[in-house]
Amino acid sequence: MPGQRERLGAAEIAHRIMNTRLLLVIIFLVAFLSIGPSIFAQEGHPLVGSWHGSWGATPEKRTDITLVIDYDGKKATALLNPGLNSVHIDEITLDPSTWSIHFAVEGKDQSGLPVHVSAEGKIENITNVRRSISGTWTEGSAKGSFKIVRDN
Amino acid sequence: MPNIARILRLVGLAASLAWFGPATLSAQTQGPVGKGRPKGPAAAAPRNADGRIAFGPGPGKTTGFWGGGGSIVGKGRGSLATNPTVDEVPFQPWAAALYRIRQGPGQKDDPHARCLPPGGPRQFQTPNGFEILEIADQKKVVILFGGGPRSWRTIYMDGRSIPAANEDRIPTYFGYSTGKWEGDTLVVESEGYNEKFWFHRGGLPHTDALHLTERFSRTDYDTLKYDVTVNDPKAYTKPWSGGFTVPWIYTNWDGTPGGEIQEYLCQDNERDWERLK
Repeated sequence: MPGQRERLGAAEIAHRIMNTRLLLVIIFLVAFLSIGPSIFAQEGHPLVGSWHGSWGATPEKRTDITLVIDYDGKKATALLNPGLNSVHIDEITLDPSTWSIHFAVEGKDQSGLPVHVSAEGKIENITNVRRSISGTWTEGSAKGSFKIVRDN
Repeated sequence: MPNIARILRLVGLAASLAWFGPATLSAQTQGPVGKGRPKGPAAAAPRNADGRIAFGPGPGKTTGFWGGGGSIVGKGRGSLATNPTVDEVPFQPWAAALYRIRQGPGQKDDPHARCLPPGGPRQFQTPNGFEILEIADQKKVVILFGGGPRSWRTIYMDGRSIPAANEDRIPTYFGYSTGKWEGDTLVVESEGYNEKFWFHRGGLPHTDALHLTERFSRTDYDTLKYDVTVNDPKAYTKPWSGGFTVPWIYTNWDGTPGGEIQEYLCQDNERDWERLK
């Protein structure tokens, strides 16, 4: 019965779509819960929260950056690029007299290979919920500018 | 053309600063003008049938409310004589630097100017005043605010504990408050605040670790004494305290007899959101 086979095929496709959606929902929930406490912060420690942006040697050639920063009362720590290749940053130093920041970490490049990553930057528009950090980003032998903006 | 657009944008920013900055601060500092106060010394604080101090008008009366208070830092304008100066506040370095900026150009980014609710001492510093309602049968004290987004806050008086800090406790603007009476003083413990607001006029920084211990007492009919201990180890190096007094208001906002909080909604007049972002 071609018609019946067709109907079963449609049901199977719907079932697979449902499974895919369920998987996506689970992935989203896990990601959301892992960074949840940080994304609520806005007016507290100026580094805390989720930041998005890019770095690169030229305006045309950019690499996306996501940085999720937390503060425990003594030091700021972060997760660079949450996901399979995420890297934990033990400390981001902040000089409040200039709002300049620095960190260095053994990270992973786009292909997942180990690479030394460091950044020197300055927080701009410090009191605004959409403040930004810009400066110099170094990844292995490559060097460029970076700018990340805090999520609202 | 770009230059003209830039000039217009700067003019707009200056106008918004003039509107939300000094004008708002001035009104908040002075609070409502309580015309109509009876001449002579203040009467004794009213008491409920159970003999305890009342924070409302008292038995047989229906009108009046509390105006805006002073500051928990520094002296003058209703602030307590025991308050620390700014230099004595035990800021962490980042918090001190941020506070200095918020005292100046950063004032334009005050979330309260964008009509977000004022948690902590800030709730008693806003124009339009507030009322403290004790609902004995429900074992609650509810504070109604006339200013900002016209919000309210619940203080649980049934002996419960503040829920532990975990992923199930959603941080809020007013935190989670439990209270108890120590004689004629209402002592309130609160935590579970979010970081979306400035908890004090002028931008004293806080974090999600903020714990406040507030002590409300009524020294006479016309005076509410507010004393708060700030404990936020992520923003301050040690707990510290400050407070202010709040005047009882006998009249309506415009000075006519009545003593009713006017209907005011910040959002109704908010016209600069895009420029303030």
